[in-house]
Amino acid sequence: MRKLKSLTFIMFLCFFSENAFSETVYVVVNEKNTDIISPEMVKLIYLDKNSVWSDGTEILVFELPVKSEAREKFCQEVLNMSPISSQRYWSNRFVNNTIQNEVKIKPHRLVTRFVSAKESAIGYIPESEIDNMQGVRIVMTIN
Amino acid sequence: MVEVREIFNPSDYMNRIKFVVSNCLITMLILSSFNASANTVEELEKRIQQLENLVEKLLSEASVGTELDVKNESDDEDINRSISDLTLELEEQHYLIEELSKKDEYRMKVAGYADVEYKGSDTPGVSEEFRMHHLSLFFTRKFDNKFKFFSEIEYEDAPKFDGVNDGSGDLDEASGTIFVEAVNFDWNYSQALNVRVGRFFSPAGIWSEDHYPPFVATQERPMHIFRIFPQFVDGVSGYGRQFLTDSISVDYNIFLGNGESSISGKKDLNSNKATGFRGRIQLPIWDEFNLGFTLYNDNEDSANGNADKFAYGYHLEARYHNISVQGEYALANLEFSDEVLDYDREGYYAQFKYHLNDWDLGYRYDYYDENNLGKNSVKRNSIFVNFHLNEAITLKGEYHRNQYRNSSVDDVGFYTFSISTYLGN
Repeated sequence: MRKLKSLTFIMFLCFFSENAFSETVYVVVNEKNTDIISPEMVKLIYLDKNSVWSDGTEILVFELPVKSEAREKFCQEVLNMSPISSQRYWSNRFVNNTIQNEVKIKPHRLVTRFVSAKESAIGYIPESEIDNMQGVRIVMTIN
Repeated sequence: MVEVREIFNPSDYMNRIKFVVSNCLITMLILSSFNASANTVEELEKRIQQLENLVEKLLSEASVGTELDVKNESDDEDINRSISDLTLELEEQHYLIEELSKKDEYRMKVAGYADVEYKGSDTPGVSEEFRMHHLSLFFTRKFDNKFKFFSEIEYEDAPKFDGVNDGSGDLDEASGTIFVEAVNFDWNYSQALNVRVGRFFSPAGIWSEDHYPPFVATQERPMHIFRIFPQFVDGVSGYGRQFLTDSISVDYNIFLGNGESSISGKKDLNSNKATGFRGRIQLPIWDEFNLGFTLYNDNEDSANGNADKFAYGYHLEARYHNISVQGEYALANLEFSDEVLDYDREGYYAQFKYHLNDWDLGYRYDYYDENNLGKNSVKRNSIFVNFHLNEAITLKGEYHRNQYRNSSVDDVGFYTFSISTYLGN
């Protein structure tokens, strides 16, 4: 009986464990981007449902690698799905030829660089990148 | 690099300077050796990371300093020159990354998927088997921001074609299928207006496009899929999406094609073209919520005895956190020159899926009636479990049980275990 309880507890921890990444994650765009960007819009961009800014420019979407803790937090909080599901979602859209925007996967240091250099870019980065965030505008904070 | 200049001021100690200079020179040496071989964005990214790590290391080590207090102006100059070189090198790497990213975006890309199955059935006399089901290759290319190309070649059941070596052109052995499932060009004018020409999967409902084994819950598709709306269209389509509010959008896909026929891709068997339309609205309910409908008309359906075929369907797709539901309904009305032969073909399914960490568990109810002239309908109950080993590989187990309306046919159960993988990046 005791073993069963332990097993149940372990299974509970496995299934319902919360994301433990403590750093804040920032969704950022280029500082020249003046669009009003709501959390819903961020979600639509990362679900490939919206592929253009208000002026019609194609959005350059940056993702972090699947195993990145910041991606885990972003996916769970914004998309309500796991990073693996999110990556499978992009792959599925590629193979069924419905993809609008091909997402670019880069390490967070490069995401900051690209977003600061490209006016049409959007990405998200962990708090540890805050010192390198010149040229970007924070549009969403995920605590 | 501004920080670099601030830290290395003229008051640094002699041995600290020597240390930094020597490290900078070593860094430059490492970089120049890399330069000869790096030719991908990934390599350049790694190189930049190395550069940044080295700079950080140098800065931290240099800032520790030593006890010596001898200044040397010429060493300072060397330091500044080395740092300047290093800065230039970093800027060059960033420039190269930009250039290579552009090249990378516009080069031809190869992706694919594959799956292997182990199938069995409780039907007496039916043996269990391994099936090398699919190996599909995608060749795609984006020419610029407006034009792109997409193709898919499918190898089904490990095809083998072996010719007779007598000059006759006859086949000694032939098995499996090689099938060009998609080959099309896209012109993307805007989010609301795009044109596709070539062969593409019918934009009808959900499963018709969204059917690839690594990304669907079961290897076995719902029974009516590809039987009411055609599997693919050889023709042209216009599609796009328009936002009505910040979170409500509608998308459309209107298409014109040859229609179904036994000869695919070369010529149409009749002068009547098939037309279709799919409309969909996306609502801000739960995490995702899409409702849609499809219409299809072919006045002379060569694949069904030149019937005048009209089909319609509707679908729902929704997700709330870990729970996904999807369902489709479709009905085709086929009319012949002899009214006695007219019939309806109908099918629908409803699927529920629960996602738990790397697992998907689910159930699907499925109904299909090939024609309403007799007792031909089949009901199918399916349960499935998927385990996503990672973002590319999925292991599946599924069990289906068919119940036939015709009481003279026994119910049948069958199962499939499979591994499927996506081969793209």
